[in-house]
Amino acid sequence: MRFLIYLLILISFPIHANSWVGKDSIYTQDYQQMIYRRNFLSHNLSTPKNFGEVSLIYSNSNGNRRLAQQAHNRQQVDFYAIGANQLGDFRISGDFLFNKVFDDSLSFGQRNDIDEWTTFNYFASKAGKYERQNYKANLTLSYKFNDLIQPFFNVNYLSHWTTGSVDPRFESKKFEMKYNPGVILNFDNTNIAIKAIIGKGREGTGVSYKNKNYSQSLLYPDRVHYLNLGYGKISIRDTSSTRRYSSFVGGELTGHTQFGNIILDLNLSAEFKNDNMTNDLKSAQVYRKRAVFKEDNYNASALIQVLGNRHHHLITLDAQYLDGRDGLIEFSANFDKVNYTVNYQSARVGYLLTKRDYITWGYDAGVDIEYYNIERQDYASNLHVNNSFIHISPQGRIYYRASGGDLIQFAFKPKAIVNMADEITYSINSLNNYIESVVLWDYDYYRTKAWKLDWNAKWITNKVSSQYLFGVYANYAMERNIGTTSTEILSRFPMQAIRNYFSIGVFLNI
Amino acid sequence: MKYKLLQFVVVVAVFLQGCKKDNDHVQAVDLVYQLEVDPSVVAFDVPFDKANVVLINKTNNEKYNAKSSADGKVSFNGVTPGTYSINVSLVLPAADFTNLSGIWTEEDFHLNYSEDNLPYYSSSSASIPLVHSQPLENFVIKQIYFAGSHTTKGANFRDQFFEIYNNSNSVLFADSLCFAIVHGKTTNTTGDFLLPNLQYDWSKSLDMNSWGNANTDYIYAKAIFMIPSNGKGDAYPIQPGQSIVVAGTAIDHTKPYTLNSNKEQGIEDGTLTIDLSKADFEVYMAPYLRKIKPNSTPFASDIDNPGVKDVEVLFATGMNDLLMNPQGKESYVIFKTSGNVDPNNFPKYAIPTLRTLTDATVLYPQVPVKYILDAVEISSVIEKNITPRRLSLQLDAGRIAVTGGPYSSQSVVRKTKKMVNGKRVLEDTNNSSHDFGVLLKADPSKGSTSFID
Repeated sequence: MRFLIYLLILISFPIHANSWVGKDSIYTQDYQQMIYRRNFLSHNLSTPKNFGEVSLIYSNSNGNRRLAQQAHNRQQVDFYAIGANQLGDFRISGDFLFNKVFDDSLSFGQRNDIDEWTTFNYFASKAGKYERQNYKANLTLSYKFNDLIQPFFNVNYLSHWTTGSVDPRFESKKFEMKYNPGVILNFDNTNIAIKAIIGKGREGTGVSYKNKNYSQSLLYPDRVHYLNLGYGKISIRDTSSTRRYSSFVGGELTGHTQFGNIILDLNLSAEFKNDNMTNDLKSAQVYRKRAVFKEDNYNASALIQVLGNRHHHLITLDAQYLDGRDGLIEFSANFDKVNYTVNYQSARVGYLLTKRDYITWGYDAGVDIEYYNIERQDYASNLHVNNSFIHISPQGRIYYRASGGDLIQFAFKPKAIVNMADEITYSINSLNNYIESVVLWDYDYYRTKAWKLDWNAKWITNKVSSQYLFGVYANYAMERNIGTTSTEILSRFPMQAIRNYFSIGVFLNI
Repeated sequence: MKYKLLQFVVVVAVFLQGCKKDNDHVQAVDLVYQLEVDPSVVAFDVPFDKANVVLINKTNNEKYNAKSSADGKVSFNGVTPGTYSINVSLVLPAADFTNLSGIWTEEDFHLNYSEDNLPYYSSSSASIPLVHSQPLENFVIKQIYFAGSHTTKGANFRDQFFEIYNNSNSVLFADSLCFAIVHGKTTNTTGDFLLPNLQYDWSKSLDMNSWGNANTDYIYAKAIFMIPSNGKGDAYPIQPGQSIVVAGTAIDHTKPYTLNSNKEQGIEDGTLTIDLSKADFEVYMAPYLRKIKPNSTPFASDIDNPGVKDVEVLFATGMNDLLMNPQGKESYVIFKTSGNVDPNNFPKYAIPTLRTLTDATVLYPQVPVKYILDAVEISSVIEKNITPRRLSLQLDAGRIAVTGGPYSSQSVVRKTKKMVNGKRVLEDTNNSSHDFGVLLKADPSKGSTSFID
């Protein structure tokens, strides 16, 4: 772990760091940052060859416009580093995130906040405090074998823990490692990379009670823990610990080309995850499988840049398709009968126009349109839920370059959240507290129209150090419900819900 | 441009929708029941639409209710596959019963049914034979404090007691009245020599030789405690509406006391437990233990209070003091034999899963149901922890649990049905789910606070 941290810090301090200070570098324009953060090839092929950025950001969000299994109040501190460095024919690039998350008033939250779509998670309705910590690293080392071939090795590392401080006390320790070998083929103006994804992971979870009165009583129903075995099939006081063993396999194809004043980046990936869940704690090699969950994840994205004389045009296209399904030994000894399915689709189209050359005032403007469709079924509970909605966000930003070289940015991004289609069916003879409190809440959340206003300010200066650009960043956003498509509210989701977001941070561009 | 972008979104969405996998999936089940009665017992047309049917999912403790049609048909559609319990209760007010049967009564008429561990993994239909049992105007079990109190801050199981109440209109004598802990299988595992509900099939016990049905005409006792008698049977008259309390150890558990080992038994939180020093009887096991094992020493906390009479221990296994299972895995009966029948002479049998008998094999006394005055089926409050019922539906068509679980200081108490001339008449429909409630703290005082009105 420490090796990874040292390595990331190393690549965040390139040898020729000062060569970009004072120019309109990749740091001062948001579209540039968007490009080099998109995928490993982007920062592997990026110009400049050496760059680095570290940031420390505090963020806070609170309010009841949230999903049922999200905290009413979340505070988070992120340390993030990204960079690339050329060392002869070797090139190392990657990013690293370390963060601490403090959740307060989180109900039904006895799970990690990473595996959103999976099952086999504990829950209890008692709202409480949780603390989480993540280490994430994505590191690529490549070697230019000749002008054409550039093999590389990409490593994806995740270490996570969550702990809760109210009964039933939850603890999760999760670890994932993906080893992704590949090769980049460099042609004139075109680069193509292909990589394999091979990985393993494991997670151990447990619930315990400090107050033994809660552990066997039904007098405190909010303290009773359940195991979620689908999206409505639940088991009361099932067990007190679980293990999840994950394996990953997949591939990714990335392309980059330029013809004329157009730059095109394409990325296609497919990743297949297989989780085996058990209550056996003794061995990771031999254990009695109790449930499985398979998740197929497909991603496609394109980035088209048109370099005009005065303006830069950026079109981004993204699509994600996720298909997940479980198997429970209770229903089939070979896990071939599916109880829970999830199907998640998203598509995004974005356009951003940026003024390229400016002396004092600059601007960019654009629009993002996002489409989401979430469909989940718990066949044992006769439950089917489907929500489709879109986000439409126009945006504008102005840049002001002061005479001393400081750069000040103000951005404004309103958003409209509009539901398109909502459908739910369930059996009253299968209703339970999870369906009533989580499934119906989330259904109401997704089908609620809302607006969001997002303000952002950034100040970048080279006065703090002649070596580095130093920046300060602040963001405030407010999201508010504006009603539903139906007057019938199925859950206790508040129809006047609000959520506020605030973040502030500092960063160094190296 | 915008139009083309939207087109892209739609095309991608349609394409991805087409990628969805088609899986063989689990199906919710539909359950259909037909309520029935034995026409030789109930000779009139029962208005089944008055029946309440409760289906309980043992996996998640959720309860689902349904009403019956007039002809007794009950349906539950879209039920999650799993293991279930079912409870049916039908109450005919006295006037309705009189109209339907032509037999005058001032008591309500009850029909009940209860079944546990029903595996429903596919749609099915079944008949439900409702059971009617006529309660006796006699002694009833009023209160059972089996849960005990907090294991470290309270008194653990040391403060357990039970209370027996005269629910009749006449003086009854407690002499030779027996209280038995009913033994049964305490897990839901499958195996041989078991009934469909996974309880022991006592008819398969080795050397079983009894008249009638070994499972429904008898119970098998883990312990029998008898109120002593003066030989004439008139030593302990109990007035109508009065009761006797039998303590495991008749001392004040709210305060420290000296154990038989001369060590002090402290108490961290006296409010969690109770004062049993005023109990009418106590279970002092030392004489019985010495009888079956001459060199045994009294259990440390089984203090003999000389001011409180001891019950006679006729049989006890797996305990050194009165020990009722705090998890609710035992049931309880009171019985009184007639004539010259001596409970000490009841035949004894091993559990049917034991296929070889040795000198060490525990043999459980077989108590005929015909002597039983009252019976209470106890269970865990969490459905999945409920073990197979030990009592037949004729003895108790329901069951009762403490909501706080083991060591919660709670007791189960028979509810008050009515007051007659200042005397409480307690519910007795032979359905503990209906007749009993939970007292948040066990109360041996016999006062108004010890009742659930």
